[in-house]
Amino acid sequence: MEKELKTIREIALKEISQAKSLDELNNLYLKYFGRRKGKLTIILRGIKDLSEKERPKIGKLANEIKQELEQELEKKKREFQEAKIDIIAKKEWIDVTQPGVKPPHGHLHPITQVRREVEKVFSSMGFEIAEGPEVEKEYYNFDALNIPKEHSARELMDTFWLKDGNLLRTHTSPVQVRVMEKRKPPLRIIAPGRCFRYEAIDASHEATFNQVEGLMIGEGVSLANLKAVLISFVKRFFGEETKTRLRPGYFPFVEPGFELDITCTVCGGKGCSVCKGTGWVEIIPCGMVHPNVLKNVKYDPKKVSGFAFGMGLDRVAMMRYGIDDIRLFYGGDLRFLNQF
Amino acid sequence: MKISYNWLKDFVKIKLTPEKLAEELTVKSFEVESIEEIGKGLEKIVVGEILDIKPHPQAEKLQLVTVDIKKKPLTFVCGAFNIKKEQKVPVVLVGTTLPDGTLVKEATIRGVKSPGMLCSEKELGLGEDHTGIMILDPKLKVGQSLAKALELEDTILDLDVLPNRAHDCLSHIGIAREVAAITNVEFRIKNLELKEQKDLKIEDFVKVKIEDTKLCPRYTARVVSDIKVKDSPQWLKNRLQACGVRPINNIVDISNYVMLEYGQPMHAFDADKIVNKQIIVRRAKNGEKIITLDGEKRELTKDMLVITDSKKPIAIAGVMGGAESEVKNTTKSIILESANFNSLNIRQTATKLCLRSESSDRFGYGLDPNLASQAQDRAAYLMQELAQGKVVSGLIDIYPKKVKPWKVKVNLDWLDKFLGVSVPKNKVLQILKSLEFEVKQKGRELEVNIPTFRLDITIPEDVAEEMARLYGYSKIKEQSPRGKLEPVPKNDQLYWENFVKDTLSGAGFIEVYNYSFSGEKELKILGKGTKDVLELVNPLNIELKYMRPSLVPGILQNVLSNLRNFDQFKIFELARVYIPKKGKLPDERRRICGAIVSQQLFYEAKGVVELLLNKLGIPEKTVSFKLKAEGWIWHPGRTAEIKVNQEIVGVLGEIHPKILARLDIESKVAMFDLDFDKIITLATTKKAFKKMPKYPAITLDLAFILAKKTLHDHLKNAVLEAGKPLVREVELFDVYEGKPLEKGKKSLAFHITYQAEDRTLKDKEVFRIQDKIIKALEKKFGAKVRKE
Repeated sequence: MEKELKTIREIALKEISQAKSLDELNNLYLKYFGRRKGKLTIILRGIKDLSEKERPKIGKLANEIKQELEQELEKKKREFQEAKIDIIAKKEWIDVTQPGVKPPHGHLHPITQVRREVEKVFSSMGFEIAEGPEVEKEYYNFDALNIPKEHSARELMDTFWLKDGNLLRTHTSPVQVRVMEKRKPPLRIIAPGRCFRYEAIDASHEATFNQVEGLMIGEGVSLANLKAVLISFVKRFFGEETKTRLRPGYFPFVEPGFELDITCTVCGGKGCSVCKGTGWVEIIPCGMVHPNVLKNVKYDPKKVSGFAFGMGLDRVAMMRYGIDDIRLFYGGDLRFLNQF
Repeated sequence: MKISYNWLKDFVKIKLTPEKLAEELTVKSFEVESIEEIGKGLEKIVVGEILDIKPHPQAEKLQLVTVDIKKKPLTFVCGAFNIKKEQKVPVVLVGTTLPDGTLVKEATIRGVKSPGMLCSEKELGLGEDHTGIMILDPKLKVGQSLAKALELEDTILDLDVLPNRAHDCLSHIGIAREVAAITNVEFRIKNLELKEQKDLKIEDFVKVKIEDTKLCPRYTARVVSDIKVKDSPQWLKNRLQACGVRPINNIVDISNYVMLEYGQPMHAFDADKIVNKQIIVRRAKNGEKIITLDGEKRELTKDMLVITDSKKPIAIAGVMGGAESEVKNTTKSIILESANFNSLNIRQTATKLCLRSESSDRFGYGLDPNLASQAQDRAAYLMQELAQGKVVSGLIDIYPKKVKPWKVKVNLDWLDKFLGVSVPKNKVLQILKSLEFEVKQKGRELEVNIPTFRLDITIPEDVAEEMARLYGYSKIKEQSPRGKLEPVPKNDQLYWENFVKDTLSGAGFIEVYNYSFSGEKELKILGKGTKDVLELVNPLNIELKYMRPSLVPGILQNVLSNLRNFDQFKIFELARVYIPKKGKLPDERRRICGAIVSQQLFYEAKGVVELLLNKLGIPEKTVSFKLKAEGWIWHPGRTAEIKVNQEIVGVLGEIHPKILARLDIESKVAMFDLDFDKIITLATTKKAFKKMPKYPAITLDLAFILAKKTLHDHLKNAVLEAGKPLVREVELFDVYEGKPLEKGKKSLAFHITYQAEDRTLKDKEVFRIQDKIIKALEKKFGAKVRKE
């Protein structure tokens, strides 16, 4: 019996090592372990008929051989399987240069993107974001901002009037008045939003445009503060290398008023067609809030002062992306919008 | 305003080159928009004298002109016939480049060689005349360079004078004062020697009466007699032309010259045309008429100011003179007007008549009344010198309320605080002095006397501006603001706006911006009349006449225009619509409007709305969709009203084929139109974590065959009800109609998930519930389980 077992073992091991396919291995499994006719199965089944003396010894041996053979079979099987996997490089080859399957993704309008970036920089400097109505009262758009009815500046801001006597705001500056009326200083706000000017539309003029207005009011707020805030913004938004200059400007709601110029973002200040050869582009009109504006909202100009500024988002977006026709922003053309 | 560098030098010693001066002016006064060198390129053009003119042997329309240019005489081929022997003309030799950039090359014209050419004004960039050769002053020296002979070399700075300085800086004197202050040198006006004719008294020539001193605070007049109307001297013409003014005759030129020099508009009347030697300044009568210098007949109204003689208007005050009293070649004596008019009135008159002039622009900004007499004397002096006129003795000057310098108090401590920099006191005083401001000091308190030519300086902040700009904005060091370090207050609206935009763009939508305007066509599409919308008084055009009450028409327009290039896309806009509210500002509600052009229209749009509401934290069970199409743009069988907690928040559906046809949209379109402002009141950022279930779930599939119009929602609720409490989820995964199903039937297939919180479910238990569900649906809907 013992001898027979050993012979089975040797033959089986040899057969396993010589097997050439998974099928052959399966047949070998059946040959030795098949439920009914398996050679080892038969022996194992016969153990219970052996004498009590032989039973433990043969039983142990048979089980050892069974385990060994099973292990060998398993090992050989894995070899075959791995070999099969090894050829997938050839079998499952694909063209990796073919275009990828694009996940659905949309685009935010370029002005939305620029606006968010501006908001982020000012938020990080403690400016709160405020909004106001686009259809405005004459008072908020003009009078409260030190532009009374007879002021010549009204003629410069060509205005859309509504039949109900209101108007479409020509700038987001009315928001500063609305906020000041409701709150006490200190204040730091920016007011982004849509504005309108009665203007014939062409590649560089739009009747609809977007602006960000800014305002800071408090005790001892100075021109040096204005410079610090706006220069920080410019460097963060347009790049650390951007240079600035302040020069006189005129807006009735500030005194003194300035134009903040930055070195041209296209040529870096050397002079090109964008900056008309000067190396500078006008970007942020600004100034110290006019005492009349403060008085209009019942602030005491002797106690508080402040600065205000504005910026055209359309213009900034045009500069940033090199867009040469402002009308594209409001045309809804996906060939344009898909680029952002 | 065009400013001549040479002209400035009449008033101030300039130590800077034109380029450097332009830089300084830009950062301290006004932006210099361009610098133009004139006379450049004329150095090589010379003065020649015509010796002989002969016909061209081959061509009737050409002549051969022999010219002396102080070398060997040369013969040129010339096409102009306005020339005579002994005249002096500009000559250009081969190899010279004209001011416009053309290189003069040797040419053979009809068989005759020409060593260059004779030039017209236009070819030299000296004027507009191109009809003939420019005839030069006979006194010029032959052979001399034209630039030198005509004193042409100059640099012109084009300045963008700010509106609050227009009253003094639309003039060479104003800019010269700026230059003096910037470079800290003296500003001076030369004394004029006016030789008044003692024997001629102005009272004998003209009387003036002002009827409305509010509209005319000052009126001055002088009379110059025995004038000779002729061309102005070359230097004066040059200056006018350099500043963009066309020379006419010496009298008109002088009044323009003085305007460019002092900023004071002037007018000269032909004295002989003034009836009864009487000038009256009064309001016009309604319907009164005048023919202005431009030849137009104008009808006046009573709010306009006119200058009249004893019979009729002779000028529209400050705007334009009348044709009848215009100075002509035959004019013998003139009445010179230099006055001050109310700025608003002049602006209104100019606007009303659509008649703007250099004069009305200047008066419109407001002028210092004290300027009137200074300019008057300057003009009279030039008439005396350049028109050989006799200045009649006396000046008529009606000036009831003389404007005197005023005081502005400035505290130096305030100034330092306001600017954020401490400007040394002596620097402050020096700057104020350079501006011709007189100062009285009382410690740190300054009392600044403002000269009347600085109408813009009335409050301490105005003085601060002068200080800061002349001290140099670049010298003020940035200082970060100080204050409490507090978080910025939240802006919920903006937060959700960004959130919605991000969610939609994440779902493949492209954001568009449309105009806030709409027209009747759009309103018709919406089925709206023009009553409930806001109307503009002055629309850009008739199609942009109203404020949009809906975003839908704009989006549909985007769909149409993009179908040319794309066959599938998703777009959205989040913006305001305008709903009128009586007696108040309109309700500017924000809406979210999107469109889908693709295959699975309705359900794709619904999926987006569901996703959006879910992301906004609005619980699914509070949201309901009900078939309902209000208005005719929506497909009546494929539109749902969207409610959250019984409140309508928007609509979603396919666009009615009729509307699509009307708009020429050849594709099906689904849209949603949501009330952003309402939705954000329901939105929340709160999220509560739910523990993962401990025991496994079992998912079984079930398909039912039922009547086509059975609603999914009803079925789903029935499954949940019958399967209580173990059914966790019911998910539709397939809808089928067609063979082998009967007509009018459909099959809906669900994944149904069962799960218990306290134990692992046994198969038996699940099958029991499944049977219960099947029975319930059979009973309620006549549903039959579909077997494979």
